[in-house]
Amino acid sequence: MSGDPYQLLGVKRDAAQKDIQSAYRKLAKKLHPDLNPGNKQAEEKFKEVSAAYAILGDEEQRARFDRGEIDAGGGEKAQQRQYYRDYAGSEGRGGPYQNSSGFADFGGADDIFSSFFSRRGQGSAQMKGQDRRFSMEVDFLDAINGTKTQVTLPNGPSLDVQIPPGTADGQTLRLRGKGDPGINGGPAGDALIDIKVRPHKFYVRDGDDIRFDLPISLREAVLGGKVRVPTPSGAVAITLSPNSNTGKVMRLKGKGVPKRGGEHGDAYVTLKIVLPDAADAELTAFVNSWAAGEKQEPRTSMGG
Amino acid sequence: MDDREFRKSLRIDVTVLEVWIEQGWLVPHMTHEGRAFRDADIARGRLILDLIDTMGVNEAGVDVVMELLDQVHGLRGTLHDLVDVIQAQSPDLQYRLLAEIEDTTRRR
Repeated sequence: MSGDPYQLLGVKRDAAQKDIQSAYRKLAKKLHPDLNPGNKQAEEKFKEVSAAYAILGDEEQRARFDRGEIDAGGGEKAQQRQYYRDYAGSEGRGGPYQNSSGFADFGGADDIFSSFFSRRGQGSAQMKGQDRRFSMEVDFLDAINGTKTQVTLPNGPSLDVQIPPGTADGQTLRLRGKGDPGINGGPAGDALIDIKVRPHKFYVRDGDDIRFDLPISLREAVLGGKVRVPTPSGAVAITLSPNSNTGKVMRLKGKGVPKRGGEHGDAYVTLKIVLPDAADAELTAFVNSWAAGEKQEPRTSMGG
Repeated sequence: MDDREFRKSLRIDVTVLEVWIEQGWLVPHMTHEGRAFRDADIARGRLILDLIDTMGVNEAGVDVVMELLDQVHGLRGTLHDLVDVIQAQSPDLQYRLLAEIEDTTRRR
């Protein structure tokens, strides 16, 4: 840079810092090469002005320049830079930044010119559409066993959603191509559906296993025998051994949550003895005369 | 280049980049590894920084500038094509076309 920085920015030698900045901003807006895509000289001028500002914009540098310690070249940065305009020529052809709205009204609807002017608009800038996120609630058993349901999207159409067996709370289902349409014929985005599984009355999911309490009668507990147990995949019969206590856990192999690959988790049932709803005179009389019952101390393990 | 390299070369942080992309000022390519940026995106990023830092343009201003700039480049490209094609014609036809254009300009 050869010129006097004050002259280049068009400010007086005693100009305030703030005025220097605003003078520079004004010039930068006029001279920035990207705002002058066809003007080759703009770059040279912009460089000069920027170099001048590199000195005057910095109070310390400016003072040194004023004292003659540095010359006008002091602020020059040998910075080789590519401006966006250097790329824009090819960007317009099929790049993501192409914009043909500047001539949207050129040529008639079906004459040959309209296709000429819109040609740039239909370039190859295919982009995948945006993904869209939704959430939906699913019944516990539907999530375990899988189901087909419909969800109506806020933007209109309803979608068939396949809930795969074993779907867990918080899982996200991806429906390919059900998001926003693609740009320029690009593929549509995906619909992402966050699944919220409603809790069940008595089943509790534990990973791939299911846990729940199984109420049994006093008779079943004392004598043992076959009882029917409901599981998410249907009822099964299990055999209780005589004197099966509350709290005893029994595993029902393969009666849990379906896993990928065809296997299943297990169901764990915890026995829970349930007395008759109403007191029974016969039972009361028996327990009253039952000597061993008086000696049982079930709370010894609790101390005290 | 990926997100990190892009941000490093422009010295901007994540939130700034997200704003730029959200505003549509930058459109990275989508690859299997995620977003990818090209040299043109860097140059575009520098321009955005110049607008904001050097020229004091605010977000709304950048939005307008980028939109109009893309339109300008679209127009320039099409005009380039048009001129290239006219230049490839016979001198006789070139002359006739230019005369017609001048005629039209005068009549307006």
